[in-house]
Amino acid sequence: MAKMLSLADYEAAEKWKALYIKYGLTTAAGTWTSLLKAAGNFPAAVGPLISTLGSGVVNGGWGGVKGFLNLWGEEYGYLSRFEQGVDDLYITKVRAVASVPCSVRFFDIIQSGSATLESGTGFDEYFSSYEADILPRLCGTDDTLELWQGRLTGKMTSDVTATITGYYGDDLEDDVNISAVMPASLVADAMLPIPLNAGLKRLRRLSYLSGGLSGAGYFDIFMLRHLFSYDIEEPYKPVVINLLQGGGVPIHYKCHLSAAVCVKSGTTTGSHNLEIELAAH
Amino acid sequence: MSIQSLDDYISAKKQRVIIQRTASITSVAYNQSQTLHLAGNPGAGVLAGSNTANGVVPTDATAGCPIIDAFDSGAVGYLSGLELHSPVAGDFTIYDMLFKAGAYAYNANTTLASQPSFSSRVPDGNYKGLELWLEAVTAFTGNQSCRCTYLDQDGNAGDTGVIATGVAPIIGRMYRMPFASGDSGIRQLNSVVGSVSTVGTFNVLILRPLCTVRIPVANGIVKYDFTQTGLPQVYENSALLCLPRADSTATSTPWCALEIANKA
Repeated sequence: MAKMLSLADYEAAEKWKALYIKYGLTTAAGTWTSLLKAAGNFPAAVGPLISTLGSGVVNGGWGGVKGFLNLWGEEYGYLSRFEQGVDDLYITKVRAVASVPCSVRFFDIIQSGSATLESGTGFDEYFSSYEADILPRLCGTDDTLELWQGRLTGKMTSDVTATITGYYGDDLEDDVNISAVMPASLVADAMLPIPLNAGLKRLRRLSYLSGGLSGAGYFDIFMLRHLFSYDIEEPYKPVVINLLQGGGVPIHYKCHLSAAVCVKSGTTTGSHNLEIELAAH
Repeated sequence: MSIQSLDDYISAKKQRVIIQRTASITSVAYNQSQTLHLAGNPGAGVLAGSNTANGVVPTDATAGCPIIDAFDSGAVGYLSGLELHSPVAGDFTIYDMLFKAGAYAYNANTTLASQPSFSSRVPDGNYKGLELWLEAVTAFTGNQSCRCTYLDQDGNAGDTGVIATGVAPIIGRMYRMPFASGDSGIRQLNSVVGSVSTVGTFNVLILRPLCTVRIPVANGIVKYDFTQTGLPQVYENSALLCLPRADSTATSTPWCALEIANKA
């Protein structure tokens, strides 16, 4: 349960600003493109995620992985307070500028996994995320998670069908297989939503990934918790999201904050400059 | 028992509910289309209604509608925020689907009986503003006409008369049925009569509109806070829909995140 319960709590909370700067990647109008690999004010991911996390399909782990802005607040002395549950962390305000008209979404990558295919072979991997890893990242909310795929490096030589196994029930006992096509046409850094099976309401966790046997290349699977979004109508015209406009989002201090951009025209994601106000209370 | 102040909003328990479609269908420009049966998140639902004799009251357990987690005991729920992205320009309306009857044949002549009540999903028992819609389940041949009788917002008998839609609806196309003069809402559907067309099936829906937003430019995002949604009430079993009226002739693949706040 969120602990920031009033405007007085917000006023009293200790706040600091995190800077999120990213420079352009190649994209196409209408394509969601991950900024994980874009250069900026913190180390970019060296994709696919598998290359930064070791072999096998893995969850993102907590923090310390390239591509994610560190929100931990060590420099403010808050890390131990977060770890001990004394304080919770919130995004309370965002000021965003971009150099191209676009839509931007920010999310916490709750789970991620990468598969590397060699031609003629399959893949068969477990996600190493368990309930204890994921629940804190939801910060007491009942937020619906989103299943997406992406390609952070390389290119597949042909479409690959993967089977993604996940849990859909609250008790983590009901699992389901989702068949998803990873299109070879996916351009670098592009992200695509994966539709759930007919009638399936939502996924809670990912557990297993298998498939392959044709083609070669890489792809990534993401489970996302949406945090905030905004529209850049004009280049360099700031957008501000305040506490009452959907700010005040509780996030975990080891949140894997990441963004995707969908440009309205042109072939670059443009430059992005955000001041993210964080509050501990 | 409800949100009555800024502090109440800040302290309210919130959940984000996603409605995303990854498949698109052909639509008629700036006419509303049903998309619950398309692939996405949640997974596809079923377009054809399952009951013509009585109708059903869809809930969040209905396939194609997003699940809503239980509210705190005694809490009141609200649509407190909305973010929507669409690859095509158009209007999008969030509805609570209160009643669904169908699928009726083009020449149906059905008097409903023992209709289930949706009164628990109508705030303050105020039926004004509820809407009566047709939606095409299969494509029609010939311009469909339809007549519905109903109980109006106050429980009095109402009759749309025979409405010539002037269109041969394509799959998913929706058509708003006008009420009789003086009526402003509906609390029960009583009969459905189709005519003129020679092929096609359709559902009849009663919808409660919650909020409408517009994407003015393709690939834009619109973001409404609670002052813009107006905090319409939602229920933990609401059957939420996000229905497009695209400016062009495809529904495309919109993504919508709804913030639902509940406060005890």
